Amino acid sequence: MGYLTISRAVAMVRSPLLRLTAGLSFMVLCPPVGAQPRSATAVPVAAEAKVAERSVSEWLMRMHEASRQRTYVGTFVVQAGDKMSSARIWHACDGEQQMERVESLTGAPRSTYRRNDKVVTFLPESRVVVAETRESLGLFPNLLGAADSSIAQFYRVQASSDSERVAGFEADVVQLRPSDNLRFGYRIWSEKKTGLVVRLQTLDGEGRVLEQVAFSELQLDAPVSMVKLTQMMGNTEGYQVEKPEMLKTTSTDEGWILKNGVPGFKSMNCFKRAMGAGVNGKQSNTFQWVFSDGLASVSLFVDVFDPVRHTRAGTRAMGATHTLTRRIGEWWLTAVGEVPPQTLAAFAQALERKK
Amino acid sequence: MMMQEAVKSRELISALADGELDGQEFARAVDWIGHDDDARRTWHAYHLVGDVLRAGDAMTNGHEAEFLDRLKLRLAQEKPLVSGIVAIDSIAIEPLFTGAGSQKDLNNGAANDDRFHWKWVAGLASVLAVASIGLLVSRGWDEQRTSGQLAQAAVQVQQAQVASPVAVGGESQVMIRDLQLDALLSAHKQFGGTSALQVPTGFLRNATFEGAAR
Repeated sequence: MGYLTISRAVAMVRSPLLRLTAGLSFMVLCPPVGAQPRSATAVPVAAEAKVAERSVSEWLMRMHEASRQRTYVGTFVVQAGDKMSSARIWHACDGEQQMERVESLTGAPRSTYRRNDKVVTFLPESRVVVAETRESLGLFPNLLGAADSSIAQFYRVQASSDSERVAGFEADVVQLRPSDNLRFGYRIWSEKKTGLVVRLQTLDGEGRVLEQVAFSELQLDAPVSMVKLTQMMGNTEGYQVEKPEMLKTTSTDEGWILKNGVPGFKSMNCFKRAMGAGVNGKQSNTFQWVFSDGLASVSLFVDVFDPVRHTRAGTRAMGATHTLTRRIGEWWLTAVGEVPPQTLAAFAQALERKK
Repeated sequence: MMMQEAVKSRELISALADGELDGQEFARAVDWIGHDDDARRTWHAYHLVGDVLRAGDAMTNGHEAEFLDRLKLRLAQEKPLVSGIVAIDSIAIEPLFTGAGSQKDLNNGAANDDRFHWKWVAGLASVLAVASIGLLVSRGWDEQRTSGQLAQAAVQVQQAQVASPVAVGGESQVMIRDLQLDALLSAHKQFGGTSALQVPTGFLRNATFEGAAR
């Protein structure tokens, strides 16, 4: 609590870090480790109290609602590990429907469109369109609504009394601190008036930034036509449309159990999907078991062990996303998630064959 | 009487080979060659004589009847042959062995050209279909005739792969693995991005981020 004195505020305005912040993706993406740029704006006491009193669920609901009710255009930047990508975003909504267009600005050209949970990705170089349904996009209220929601149990919310400027907008800074070392923490910049997430960092146990996403430029309430986006999304002429094959299943049917659960993580879904086994073009059925603690998710992929393909067991990191590969008897496990490696190890340890 | 018949028949075939027949005679001659082994041998002999006279190159193999017999035999044994081909092809398709695989194909093609002289029978409507089966079959022959050398080599290669994947695979093995991992990472994004932050940022993050693969 408490608010900034004028002199401290002025000192911060002069900070070179702050001057770089507005609209510059470089600054936004690469803060020196440990440095936390602070904003100069003194906020009225009443608003501060309100900000500080919001629960985790209230914060998340506010952020979720903002993207359901606001229209915007912006440039979005992602930094994960040593990789950086950016894209132009168009977002439209009418209270019920949400539409999005994401046009990649780095790497191979790619246009992704979303209408609620339907996602269509255009790959102009190969003239291929990938059409998918992403259930996870429709899950949100349930993730929060469940009485035994893990989020409040495993994350503590801490809202900063200061606001910061991101892409020209004043934003509240909210930190979600994990209560154990099985998940990462998050620092979220939520636009003050609307709640829109304008910047998000994933932090490890020492508070180091593992991954960061941010708007480097944003126009809130910009005119974006849903009709036009719908037309663009549906215009697949000249493209080959691919739909990833997947089948819903259960862990019991597939013969797998998780001996000791991993604290906070609940089973969300099981799929069987045909995966290109790579080079020899043969398709193999991979079992995918999805877990989530409400904020972080883990996928366990199980394949029949193949000594030719499955040669390297171990862990890898790419930003906040970690992978673990390990042989379990006649099977090969690949665990993937935005969690610390020890969480994946706990999953690998607990996974057992029951058939 | 028989002799006269035979002489007459040979003349008919000779006339057919020289392109002198038409109408009913043509139809009769073609039908006969299609049904009678002797007639077919004669037809071949005349072509052989003609080719030798024209090219001066002795073409002593290419007996269609023999070929067809062997083809029938091989087709009758199709099951084991097909599984053999699949096993070998599946190894040949591995990127490491693509070079060897295509070399093997080239060799087979050349061997076929020498032995069967496809041009000989190019006039027959069924030739294309037969030729394509014949290519497969003769590949099978090659493999069997060389006392399963290829199959043996394939087994050795497979053993080598299992024994020391890094030595055999090198960069390619790493590449294969990464492709698989990338596919799983993208599957995780698609079905595993189960987070309260998915709508506010998760989706944008995944749609924007290129990942390690590209």
